[in-house]
Amino acid sequence: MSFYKVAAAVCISAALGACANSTPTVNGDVRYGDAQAVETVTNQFGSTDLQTIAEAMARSLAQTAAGFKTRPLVTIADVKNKTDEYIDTRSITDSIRTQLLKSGTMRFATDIAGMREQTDELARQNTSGLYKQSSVARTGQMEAAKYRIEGSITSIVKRNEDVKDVYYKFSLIMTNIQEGTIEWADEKEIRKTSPR
Amino acid sequence: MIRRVLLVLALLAATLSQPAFAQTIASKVDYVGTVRFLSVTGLKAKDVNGLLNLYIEITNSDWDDQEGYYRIAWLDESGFPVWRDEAWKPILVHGGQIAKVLVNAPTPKARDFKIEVSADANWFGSTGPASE
Amino acid sequence: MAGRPRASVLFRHAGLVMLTAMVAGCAGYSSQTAETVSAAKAGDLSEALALHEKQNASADKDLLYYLEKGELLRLQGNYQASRKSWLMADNRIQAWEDDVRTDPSKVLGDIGSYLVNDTTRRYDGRDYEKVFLNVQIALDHLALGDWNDARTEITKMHEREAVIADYRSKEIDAAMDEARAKGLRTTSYKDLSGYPVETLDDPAVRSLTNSYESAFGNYLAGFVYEALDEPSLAAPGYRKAAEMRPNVPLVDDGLKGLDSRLSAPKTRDDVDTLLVIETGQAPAIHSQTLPIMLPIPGRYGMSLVATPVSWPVIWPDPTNGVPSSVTVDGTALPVVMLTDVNAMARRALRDEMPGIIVRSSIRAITRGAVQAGFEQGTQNGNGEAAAIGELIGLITAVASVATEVADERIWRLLPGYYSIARTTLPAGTHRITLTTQYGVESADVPVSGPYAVVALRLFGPNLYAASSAANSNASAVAAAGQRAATASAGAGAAAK
Repeated sequence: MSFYKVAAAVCISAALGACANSTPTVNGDVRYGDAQAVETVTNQFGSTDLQTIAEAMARSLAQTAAGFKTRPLVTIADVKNKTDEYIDTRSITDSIRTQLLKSGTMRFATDIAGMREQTDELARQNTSGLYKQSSVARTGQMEAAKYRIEGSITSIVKRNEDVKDVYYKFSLIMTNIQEGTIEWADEKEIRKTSPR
Repeated sequence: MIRRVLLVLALLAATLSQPAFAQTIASKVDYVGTVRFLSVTGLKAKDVNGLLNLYIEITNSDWDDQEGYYRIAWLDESGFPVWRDEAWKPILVHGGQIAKVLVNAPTPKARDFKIEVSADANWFGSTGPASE
Repeated sequence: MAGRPRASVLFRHAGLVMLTAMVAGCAGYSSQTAETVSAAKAGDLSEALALHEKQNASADKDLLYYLEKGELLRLQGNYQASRKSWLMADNRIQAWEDDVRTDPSKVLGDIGSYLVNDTTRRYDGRDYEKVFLNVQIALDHLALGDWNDARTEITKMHEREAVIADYRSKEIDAAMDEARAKGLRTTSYKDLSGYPVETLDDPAVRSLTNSYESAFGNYLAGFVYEALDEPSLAAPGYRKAAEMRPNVPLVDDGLKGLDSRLSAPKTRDDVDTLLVIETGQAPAIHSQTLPIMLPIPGRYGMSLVATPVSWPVIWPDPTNGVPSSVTVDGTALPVVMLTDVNAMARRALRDEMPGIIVRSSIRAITRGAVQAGFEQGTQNGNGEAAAIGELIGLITAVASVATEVADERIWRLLPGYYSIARTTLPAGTHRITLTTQYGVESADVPVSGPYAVVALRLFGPNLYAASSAANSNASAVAAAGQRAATASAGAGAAAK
């Protein structure tokens, strides 16, 4: 540790000249960490929870979808945050969708959040008169999703003088839109305990 | 013990016909640091609808609870990675417990794997995966 | 047990010491800022700004300079400059956060610096001020139409709350350890005889979970996230606000109606409008000198000395100037008070008191001990004379502590109450009217976009209004509704 500090000092003193330690960095106190590392800084909802939930859900969905004859077309609705922590559940569903798209096991229709941009763009292409007719995306051709994925995250927090215990449960279900049947459901539980 | 390992190996050999598949558990597991209490003692693999499924047993040889971390690198037949780095997943194994973990591959392209296991109690030459 | 009778001798002289303290008092923050505050209250903002600059002539500006200046500029309608000043303040608080995160002992070490008066320590802001700075910056962003920046500021607020929570638990432990090590008996304000305990034991103060999380901050977070179509983040904001202000239909509807509001088709003509009504101002801190029993080491062992020390006091606000309703185009809407800054300030003081008591006590003991040791060399008479000599030494020492004022620094121009009303309005300009103790105030405020925040600030006899345009950079500022006719009578009544 102290060796690096000394090295850094030497580098700074040699500022204008060539620095012997030639890693492509500008010296400072900031370090890049491992984005995949287990984060235990606080017991609030954190990056490891997001990653493990997204991974568990995506894997489970992929396994189910692998059993389908054709790749299912799905849309992701909201995951309701029923905790009193500020958890961006869209960031979790984004991760799930990315992993499923990368795995090639599912196809995704534009979700509600992206629908306005989608329809705005369609309308712009069709009504502005600026585009070559042959290249314009035609209206009435959007493919409707066959399945809808939605869910919720809940938490139970208990604390006493010494310990704070947080339990998260993330549940997801996939519904067949036409038939109204639930085709798949899974949940991921996480328990975190920390001294207060 | 030896018989059990042999049984597992037989299962592995039976369920997976890939040539790249190696012959021992040890060859499928990379430990971070030197193992003290947490080690992989059982491993089965199976193809379910084209996705590789793994069943991993992690044994805690200590009487106290041990905190460990694992992740899996997914590879194709030639041993080349087909998935980005997985996040490390924390696992708590109680004293004397054999924890069972079931995971499935993210993509049908994955035909082989390598498990990475780390633990708080391991002896490290450098730092482990935990950010603290 | 030589210390026993001596202690009683000292008691008799405690009155003398008190007197010394009363005579020599120096100006605290309350009196320093009095002129600026009254100019601002009278609506003379440029005068208030000039006075503020004069008070802070040195090149080295502190946190409070930027906090107060930001609010003065905001009242002027100069949101750009206000935001700039507050972001400077925010830099300072971020520096504090970094210290706390990387090396809490550096900040906690302050407790050890007992020879330094609290007023000469760097002012890091009280906990609720740190959080309300985020709220105020968010309101500035909204007045300028920057919803995404307001969102960033709200995210910063949540993170800041987490840092503060972590730090406070460590700080209280450290103060208690220090107190035990020094053999201090009194670490609670409840043991300070004569202290207005009721100000800190008020149910309004005790019912707060802590001094920095506010119902208004959370509700505003909910509204901003909702406006940006992020229901998973809006929900906890509304939920927390409802937990802090239970059984209020307007607040409960935030969460209950969230899904239906978001799934309803948006028309550009209907504007979901949040009216933020800011009234009054944050309290001042006053110094009150009271004796505390301290073990002071002297030639004849430990003496328990009634040592007068100046303590900070915050009085409750007798004039809750929150209007019960706000009228928009002739229709009255109920106003719900969400956050009482005075109560939060008292809560902050309540939480800080153990630390303040420990620091002040240790400072007094150390000075007393130094003085007593100094006297030793000159003592050669009989026991009584020696005791008197030591007593005089002690008096001089403790008087130097007593003449200090308590740390009166506090963000004075922060609003005293945050209240809300919510309604759906057609896009366009609306006449908003408030009935106040000074008379009827009104302002014409334009609203547009699917969501809008209208900030109404009642300060003295004036109403200042700002409206956010959703996702546009145009600021819509309504001129301050100036009026003066009944101002003097009103001010007389308000002076209490």
